[in-house]
Amino acid sequence: MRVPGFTIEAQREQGARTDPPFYEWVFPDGTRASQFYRMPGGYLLRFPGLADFEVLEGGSRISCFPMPGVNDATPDHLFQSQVLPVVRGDRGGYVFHGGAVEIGAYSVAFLGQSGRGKSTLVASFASSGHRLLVDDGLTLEPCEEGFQVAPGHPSVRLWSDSEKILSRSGATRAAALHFTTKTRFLAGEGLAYCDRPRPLRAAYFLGDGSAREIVFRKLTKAETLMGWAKNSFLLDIEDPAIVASHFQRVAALSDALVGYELDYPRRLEELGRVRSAIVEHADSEGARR
Amino acid sequence: MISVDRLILSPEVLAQEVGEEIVLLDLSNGTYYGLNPVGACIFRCIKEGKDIDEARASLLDDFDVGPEELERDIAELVDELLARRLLRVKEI
Repeated sequence: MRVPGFTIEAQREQGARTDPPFYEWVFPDGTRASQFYRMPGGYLLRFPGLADFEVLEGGSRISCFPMPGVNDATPDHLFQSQVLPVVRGDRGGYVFHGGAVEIGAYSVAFLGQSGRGKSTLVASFASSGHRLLVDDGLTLEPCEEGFQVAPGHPSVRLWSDSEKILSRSGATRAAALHFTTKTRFLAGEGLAYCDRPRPLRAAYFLGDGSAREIVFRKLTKAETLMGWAKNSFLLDIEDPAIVASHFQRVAALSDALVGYELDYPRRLEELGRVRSAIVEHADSEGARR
Repeated sequence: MISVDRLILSPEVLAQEVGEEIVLLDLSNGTYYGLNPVGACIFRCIKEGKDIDEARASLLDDFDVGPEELERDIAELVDELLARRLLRVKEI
């Protein structure tokens, strides 16, 4: 798929809007992460206090207008991690709120909304010999074996309660981003990165952390479809043609891949055991095929 | 219970088959609703506008279920799909 043209324009204030956004992303604490508006010829994606992105010509032209004072790294990271995934989702891509790691010759993916522990799990694998494929904006591509995970941005963002995983492994911290209090670690020493696509063997939809033990539950095809759909990046969720086409794509994905619900106690000291259980589970999934 | 041959899928609802199951997506509010194989079979009868007796016969053939239990399953599913506005009653 063609990556749309992207430019960063001069800084400007975010003008007041009189129309309500047609869609919003909200963090678990209620803070507005982004607001989606319609504009002539396309869409305006607003990240309050950070930047506006104008998405025009069906996503082939994207301009960023950072707020005064926003640092250089923020527009590019917002583009890579938030804007590009929704544009690709609308243009027929398979893009999800999820991360993935390499296990042997294949990969496994972890999906779930913000706060479910995807990045913590990905960082835990990547600091113990399993290379990172992507931290968020999981992108799948059809391949001979079914679907493969495309490598994403070579970095992981962690909340403060999890950052010791990568601090201990000696991973390099990147410059802070204005839009998040998460710490960003770059691939390199202590954070292994895989820059080649890897076939996807299993998708794990993360539970809410209420489990007292590590639990895998095989999802039905319908549950798997709903899991993919609820964790999708899509720009215009009100466009029936886009939504219908996306619905068909995730159905094909659900037919090709078994989905599992995975829950476990969210304690850092349990992560080694969780990793071993996932590797064992994914291996047995391969044997069942 | 309203006769199944008087029911139609709401125009804002998309239905997608996955294996023996069906997922419904209500475009008006973005919610999803999954149907297990029995529910999916009942739903197909509704969608295809089958005559109620033909629908019952088809379901009794396909599933290990008695007539009374089947009637209950159909009634519960139809009530729920109507309550969620995934189905509508055809105007005569």
